Amino acid sequence: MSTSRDPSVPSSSGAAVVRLATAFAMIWIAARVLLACDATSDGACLRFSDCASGLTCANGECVTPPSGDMDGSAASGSSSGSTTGTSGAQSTSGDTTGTGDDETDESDDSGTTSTE
Amino acid sequence: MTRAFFRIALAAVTLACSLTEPIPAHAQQYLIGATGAVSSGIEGGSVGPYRTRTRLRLGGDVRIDEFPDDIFEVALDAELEPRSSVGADLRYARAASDRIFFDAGIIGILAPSSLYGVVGGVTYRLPLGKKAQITLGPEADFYFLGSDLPDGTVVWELRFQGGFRVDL
Repeated sequence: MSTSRDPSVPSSSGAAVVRLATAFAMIWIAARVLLACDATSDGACLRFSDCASGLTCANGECVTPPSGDMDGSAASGSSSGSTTGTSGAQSTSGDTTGTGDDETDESDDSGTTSTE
Repeated sequence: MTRAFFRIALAAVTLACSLTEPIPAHAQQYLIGATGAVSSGIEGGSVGPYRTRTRLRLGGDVRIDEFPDDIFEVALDAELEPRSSVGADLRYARAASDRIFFDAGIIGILAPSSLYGVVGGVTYRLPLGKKAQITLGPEADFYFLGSDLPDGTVVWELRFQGGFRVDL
């Protein structure tokens, strides 16, 4: 009479290892997919802090604040005229990913404050 | 006659008392767990969707043994990349089964810029032993307040989190 274990039924420790491996494989695949749609490579932004120092988020893009608006108050989508700027210590030089003369600089670039 | 009746009655009362042995009372116990998880996913708002920031969540949960399905969670959140920030969240979780838990609560990114919103999710606990579990599940965040948000923007995030939980 044989007492050998059925090989199709994993042991409890073996099952745990399989679960771990499956979980990490799924996480790795998901990470690879997410890296393919990284926003930072094309200068897109949803938050002010998505942009590099000296840039502000306007209409979903990191852009250079208009001249005279060194405090980064050129926020997107704001129609209010208030400027509640901070120290104005931000630099406008550097790795600009937006253009200074696109439509985001013309009309609706006043209002909120960058907190970068 | 009367004497016999009293004897029988006394025996009956004694028997009844012995059958209904009192259950010893005990105080409510707090059941505490610790969790650590990493999450990422997609986010959107006025534009997008894009990959959202990778977040590390370290926290704890507490429940009372009399109501083990009602769980309160608090955690520190650290966004790691591509930009870093720190925050916290506070959630109420409800056990739908031994392994599936729904939660909802509030979340705030506190520094370097503020961002506040609500969060909800589902967690599946994959048991690794008597006290340890792998946690997996989706989560949705909605941010609508804070100095980091452009005017009129609501940022949503759909995350998938994976982590580890231990009953302490």
